[in-house]
Amino acid sequence: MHASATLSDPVSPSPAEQWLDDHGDALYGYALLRVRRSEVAEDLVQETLLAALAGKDGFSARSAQRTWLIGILRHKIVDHFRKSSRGRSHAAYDEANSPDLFDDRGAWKVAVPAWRGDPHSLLERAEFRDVLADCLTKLPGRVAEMFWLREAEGVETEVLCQELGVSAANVWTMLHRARSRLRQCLTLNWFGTSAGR
Amino acid sequence: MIRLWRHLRLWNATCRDATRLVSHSIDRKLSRSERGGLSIHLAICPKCRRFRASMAFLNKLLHLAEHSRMLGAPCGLPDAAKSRIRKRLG
Repeated sequence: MHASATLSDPVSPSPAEQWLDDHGDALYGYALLRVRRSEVAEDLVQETLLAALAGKDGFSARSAQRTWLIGILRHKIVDHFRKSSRGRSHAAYDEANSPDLFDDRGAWKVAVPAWRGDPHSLLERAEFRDVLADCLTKLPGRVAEMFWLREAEGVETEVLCQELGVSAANVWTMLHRARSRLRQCLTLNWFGTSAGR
Repeated sequence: MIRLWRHLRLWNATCRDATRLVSHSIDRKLSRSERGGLSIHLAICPKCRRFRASMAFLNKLLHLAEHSRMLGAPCGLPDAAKSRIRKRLG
């Protein structure tokens, strides 16, 4: 009787509840930037905490708790992309949605300023991180998924084709559009402005 | 014939072609004529050279951001979701 009273003691939350309080917002923000849909992001946070709870022996103090949890979340996000792209059609992303940077003869019609600064110190600035997150959010969903898997996770193009069932040419095109759009967004909102100079 | 035409066209690559090739070179090995066409274009086009430099910059930025796990949407987990998850964990 004594033991059960201790177990249900409301003042000592389970480790997972503690993680939810300490890292729930960070996990959610991380997932939301990548999967876009709040209900999916919420589910991923839950799955992550459940997986963390089941495997908490794997946690050693050498990595910080949040880094460990985000590591689990990353796997969950990749799984989600792989599952959700099965059976979906992969029409190439509509070019009409992106403003054309070139004129009829294929020459630049916008300014292409040099990007100045050091990536390390830029990422230490919260204002820059906000701009970057905002630009990533503006990428269309499918393109963003592929881009994230390729650039951040370092997934090889061949693997992307197999996993997502897209032709190689389509993958290259989508990645190119993602990079172009992101570059243009960062140029307009940071590198081409007084903040970036 | 088509190959020859492609080949000749690449020697006269536009900025649009060149930026596509710069991006593709991150994901695949370019053909010899593509490499040739791209390097000729880059030699004469400062804008596309800056484009290429910004692609490398972008790559570095994203790797670093991912490595440091610092990049997320600036939104908190909604309270309703938080209590739902708490119930599921309890």
